[in-house]
Amino acid sequence: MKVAILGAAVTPFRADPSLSLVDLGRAALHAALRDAGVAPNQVQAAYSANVLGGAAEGAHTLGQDLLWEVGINRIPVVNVENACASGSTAIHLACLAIRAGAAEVAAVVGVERMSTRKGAIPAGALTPEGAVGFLTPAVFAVRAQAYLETFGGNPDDLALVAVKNYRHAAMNPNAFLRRPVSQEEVLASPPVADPLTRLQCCPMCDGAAAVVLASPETARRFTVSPTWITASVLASGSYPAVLDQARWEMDVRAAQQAYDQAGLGPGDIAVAEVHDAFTISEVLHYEGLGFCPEGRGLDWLRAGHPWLGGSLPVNPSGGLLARGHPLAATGVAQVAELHRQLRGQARAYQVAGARTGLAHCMGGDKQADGKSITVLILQH
Amino acid sequence: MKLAPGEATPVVEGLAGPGGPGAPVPALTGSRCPACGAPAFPARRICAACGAGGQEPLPLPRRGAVYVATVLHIRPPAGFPSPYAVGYVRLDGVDLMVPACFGPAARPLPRGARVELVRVAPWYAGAAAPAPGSGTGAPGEASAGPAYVFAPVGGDPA
Repeated sequence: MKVAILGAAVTPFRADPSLSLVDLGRAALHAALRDAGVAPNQVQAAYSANVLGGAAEGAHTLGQDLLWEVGINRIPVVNVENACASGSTAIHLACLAIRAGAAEVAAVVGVERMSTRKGAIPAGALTPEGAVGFLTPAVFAVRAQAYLETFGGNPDDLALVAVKNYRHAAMNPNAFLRRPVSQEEVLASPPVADPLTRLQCCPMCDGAAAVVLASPETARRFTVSPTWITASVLASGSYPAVLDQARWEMDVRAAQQAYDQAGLGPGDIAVAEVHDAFTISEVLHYEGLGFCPEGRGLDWLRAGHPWLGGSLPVNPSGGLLARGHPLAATGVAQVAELHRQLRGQARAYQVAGARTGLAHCMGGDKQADGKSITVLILQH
Repeated sequence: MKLAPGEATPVVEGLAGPGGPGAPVPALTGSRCPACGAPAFPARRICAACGAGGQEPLPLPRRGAVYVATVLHIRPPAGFPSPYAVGYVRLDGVDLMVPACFGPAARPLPRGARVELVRVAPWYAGAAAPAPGSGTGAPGEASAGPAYVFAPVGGDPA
């Protein structure tokens, strides 16, 4: 059963330590409820996503705090952590609740505060990767090396993902980094993990996003033309003893489930927001999601397809690389951005005539695989 | 699977290792399922493939080939050199790929480069995984550098 998006909001993604998690979450929830025309007492279930607040600030069970800020209490509230896919996992859970008839209207919020953090995030305290010194950029750098060694290609072309997403972000007032950059500038930025340079890695900033969802019957009371979530998939990694790192099997698996649910294929997607935490990630996801054949991601990028004005714009909002990546806000912001696109309200970065969008998010590292993945398909 | 003599030597005092006569030969220990034969690293208590318990210790081959590597240039964890290399090694004779630190490095080792285990941190030898929350450190220590290091065969263990 499809689920309606009644309203959505994204705070500006910024590095502003003066704003608390509660400040950010409150702003996003308040704006999303107003956008939806939904009163606090009409929300019957809520899902709140945050990754770092518990450990960094003692902000445990944050969701109840955020929701009460906008006058929501008594209802079931679930706090969600699923690494970078926390926000989209929260949306998935809200969809399940609505499909099950457990709630007619559900609110989802994702919030993160990272500007006070220093240094790259370790790849997992419990894993041998963490014990031998893998920081998160290394997990993706080895993916890039494996990809280039398997399929060939010019490593300098990876920088074009950043050039594209920075250019898109320059048109999005809510994006964190809005200065267009050249390929030379991306390649000349300080090395992080070969072949990835600084501008090929997502920045750390603060932000929140929220959406209000409803069943089809209830949605009619609020709007004549909602955006529909017609597929929602959450899956986890395979963690084989020997993993081919030039391909992302979990992308293929989750995307196929989503296409089956929606009754669509990759050729039907007009716009996508995908998890470009690092430039190589976006290239792997072009292929995993079926946007282009295996091993051809860099060619597809160079040919202009995923750029605004191309055949399938990817990350017109600027993506994680330039819009910013406040972890748990990201998955909700992707859906909010697609909702805006499908309603024709994305202004300077509007994908003309877009009616079908795909949101892809991936979280965590385990044995070189991801831990969590979500693929959602939206239609208007 | 049968290991060649000398290919899998648990940490034993008194053997000649890369550190010279008297230095222990380092080894990593995984596990093998007695029911279905599936190998694992780190060692498991329960087989992921068939669910059997009673997993047997599996001393892992010390040599293998680089599957992929990168060099990290950003601020390293305490106890690590900078820049330093990490990646994955396909071990000889067993169906496992293990993450590895390759020590200080200016550029990544290419795919297929022959490497061998040259050092296991004392806190890691025999342990399945570092203590929760300690990242790269032993229980109670802030950091102990890399848990283990592979280096090119015949190269400087540095």
